[in-house]
Amino acid sequence: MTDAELDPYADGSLPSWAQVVPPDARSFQGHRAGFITRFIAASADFAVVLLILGMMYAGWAILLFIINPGTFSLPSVSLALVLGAAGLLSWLFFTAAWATTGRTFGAKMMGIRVVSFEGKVMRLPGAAIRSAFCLVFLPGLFWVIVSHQNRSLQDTVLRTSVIYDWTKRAPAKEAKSPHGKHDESSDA
Amino acid sequence: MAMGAVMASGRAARSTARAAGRLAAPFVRVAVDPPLVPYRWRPISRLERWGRDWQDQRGSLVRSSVEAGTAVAADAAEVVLPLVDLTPLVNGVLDRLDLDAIAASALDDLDLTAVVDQVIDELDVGDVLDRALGEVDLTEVVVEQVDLGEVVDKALDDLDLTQIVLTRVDLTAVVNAVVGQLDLTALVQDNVDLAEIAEQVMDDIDLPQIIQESTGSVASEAVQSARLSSVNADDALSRFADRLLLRRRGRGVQSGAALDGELTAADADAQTSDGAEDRS
Repeated sequence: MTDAELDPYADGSLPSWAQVVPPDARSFQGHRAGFITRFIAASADFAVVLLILGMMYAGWAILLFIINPGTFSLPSVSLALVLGAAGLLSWLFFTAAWATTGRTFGAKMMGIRVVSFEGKVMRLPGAAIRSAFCLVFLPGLFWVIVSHQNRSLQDTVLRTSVIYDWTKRAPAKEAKSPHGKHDESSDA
Repeated sequence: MAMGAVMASGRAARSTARAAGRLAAPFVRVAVDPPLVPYRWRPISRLERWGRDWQDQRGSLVRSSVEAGTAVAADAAEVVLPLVDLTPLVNGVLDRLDLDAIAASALDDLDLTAVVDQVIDELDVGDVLDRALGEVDLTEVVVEQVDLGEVVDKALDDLDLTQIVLTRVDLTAVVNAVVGQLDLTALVQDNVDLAEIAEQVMDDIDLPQIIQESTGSVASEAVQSARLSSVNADDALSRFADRLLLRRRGRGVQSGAALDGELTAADADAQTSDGAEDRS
């Protein structure tokens, strides 16, 4: 495999999506992102989830205070409830983000995007499966360090990619054509 | 007192003469115009003929008298003037004259405007000017007598040419006229290397950067800096891991074709091999 085959834009002709990318970032635009960037993005996303959980807890407490101010005390929550709520919220959060624009808050902050094997935004089922897989096996992200193509365990199994994408425009939605399904199933 | 005596004597003489005239008048009348004498023999007829002759000849007599007087005066002047030094005489007269008062009085009496109007009416100014200009070479006179450089410098110093042009010249009309006569497109095409300019402009301005800033597609410079640092850290970590794993080839991280919606054979091969490697 030659360099020209690896990089279709090695002759200097930039595709339209790269025209709005700053010069410094054009060299890696569209490449699969490395571990550090993805880890920071994931950390930011979990911070957002925790923030939302905290706000929900505060909202619940305020609601209880309004209902019965006389006997109000901060509601106690079990660890299982916290983990369950965090998992559910994270699953919804990641699924919605990856199925719409392909990027969560942390991904947007770090300039990365989750795309399917076609280079397009994932469809809802794929996003839901990937989200659940990521939450169930968090250490899968570390596979990026050793992967030959900067893919996490989830990426490898589900044939997705997390790419550097500093553009604002989201790539096209993954088509529901039988052709795509056929490719996916056959490759799998 | 003396004046009173003179006036009284004058009045007395006049009344005496009047009384004498009154007494003598009838006798004089009879003597001059005696009755019973044919008219042509009367003295009055001779007196009346003399009166008529005088009236007929008075004009010619006065003229001849004046001419004779003038001739005599001229002759006398020719004789006398060389003998007389007129300068002190005239100076003495001028000293005694109040010329300012005389001039003021004359100017008061004169209606200068009317005089000038009359002169202008009677003068054929055009003819006078034509004759004067015909006899004078004005160009030569001006060139020889006038320091034209100094005149022009003085005029330019006194004038604010910029302001004059701005206020007096319809610049829009001038520019429109000039532009209307020029084929600007042909001029630019003939004299300007548009391709070079366009290339230079494209080099000077970072169009993608401008588009990016105008659309706000990427966050602030701080975020860009953080992203770039993170990407560099990714590269460093990948190189470190590859060195530990004794990999000689770099990682196959390109997925640009996939971004455009086309999965190239090369990318598919890479994915397949990666998948096999990962699974192994």
